[in-house]
Amino acid sequence: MRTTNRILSALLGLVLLVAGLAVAIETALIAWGGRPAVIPADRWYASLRELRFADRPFLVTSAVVALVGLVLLILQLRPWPPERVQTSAGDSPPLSITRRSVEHRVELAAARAGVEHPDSAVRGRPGRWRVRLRGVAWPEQRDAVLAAVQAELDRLYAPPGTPVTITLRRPARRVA
Amino acid sequence: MNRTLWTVIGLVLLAAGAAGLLVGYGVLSFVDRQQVLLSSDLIAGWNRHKAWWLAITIMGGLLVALLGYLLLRAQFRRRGGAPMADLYLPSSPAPEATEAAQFDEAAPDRADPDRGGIPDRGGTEVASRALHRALQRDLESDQQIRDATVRLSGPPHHPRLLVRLAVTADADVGHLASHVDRAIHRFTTTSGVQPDLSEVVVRIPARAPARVE
Repeated sequence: MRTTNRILSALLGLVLLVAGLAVAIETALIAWGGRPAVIPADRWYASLRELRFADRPFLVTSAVVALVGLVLLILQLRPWPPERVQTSAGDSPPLSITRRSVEHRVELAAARAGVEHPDSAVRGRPGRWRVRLRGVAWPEQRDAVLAAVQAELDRLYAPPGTPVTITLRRPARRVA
Repeated sequence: MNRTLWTVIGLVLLAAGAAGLLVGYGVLSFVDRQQVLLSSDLIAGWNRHKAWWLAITIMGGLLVALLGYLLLRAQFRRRGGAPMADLYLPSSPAPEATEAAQFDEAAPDRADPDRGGIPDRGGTEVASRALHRALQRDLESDQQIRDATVRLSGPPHHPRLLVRLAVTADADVGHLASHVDRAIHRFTTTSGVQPDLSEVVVRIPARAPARVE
């Protein structure tokens, strides 16, 4: 989401730059008795002189604008996963590992312990995070998987007591 | 910053869209839903002060363009601010000059060659890039570190330091932390620069580490 926001902001900046300059130049042309070269001001003027608040195009545009605003708000206000998480290695500041690295390492550890299609997610805050693992394995493998994940977290110097949640789905059929 | 910006944009769009719907469906009694968007009153108001409105529109357009430029520039700025300036290390004054100044107050300023003193002995300038490279190479001297990126920003004698490390799959995180500490200690000893370490981020590759059976 951080990268998406950065791209969106760069695009918005570019649009504002171009639109702002266009409006300033076109208005200056009008002020000095000329005609706008790029902006179809006459067409827009005619449309806005006819369009009423109760008309369908205005209502549809308002609904789309409100919907886009709502989606943006939800995307920005929901909790974001941390970009990096702190370890217990190093003093001031403690060494951090990228979240993706931790997720990949947990998935590899789970795969070595026999989990199929492991999918790991790190959530919480950089200084206080938790790990969630989902995958396909038999229930009796759970303890071994948990031990493998915790061993990997120890190897990564995860803070002591980092919560681990494991959700396993049974395989479709037992392989003989 | 971007998150706050897009939250505000989201709020503004939601409010504008909702207001448009309320007006369009006639919920707001003080606005006539059959009214055209560009009413005669608005046009009359524009025509009454046309010169002012044109000037305001031009200024507004330029302001929007400036904001757009600042927003665009902010997206390409690197984290941690501008890199630190080159480091200047002045040489210490000659011992004989200091002693003479202490015991003979009537003597001319010996550091000023125009007044018959000893010429300035100069100093040493260390390029910021050289300091960056020195620390980077020292960090990369460890076999577990494949690539190191350092960023020194702020005052040259006490800069802020950001470190990014791409490490091998079997890297030991505790060992990395102590290697970074030792590298910074060596850097301070050799350059006299005491960085304030603000962040060390490690990226570990996705592939499994080589296991020794």
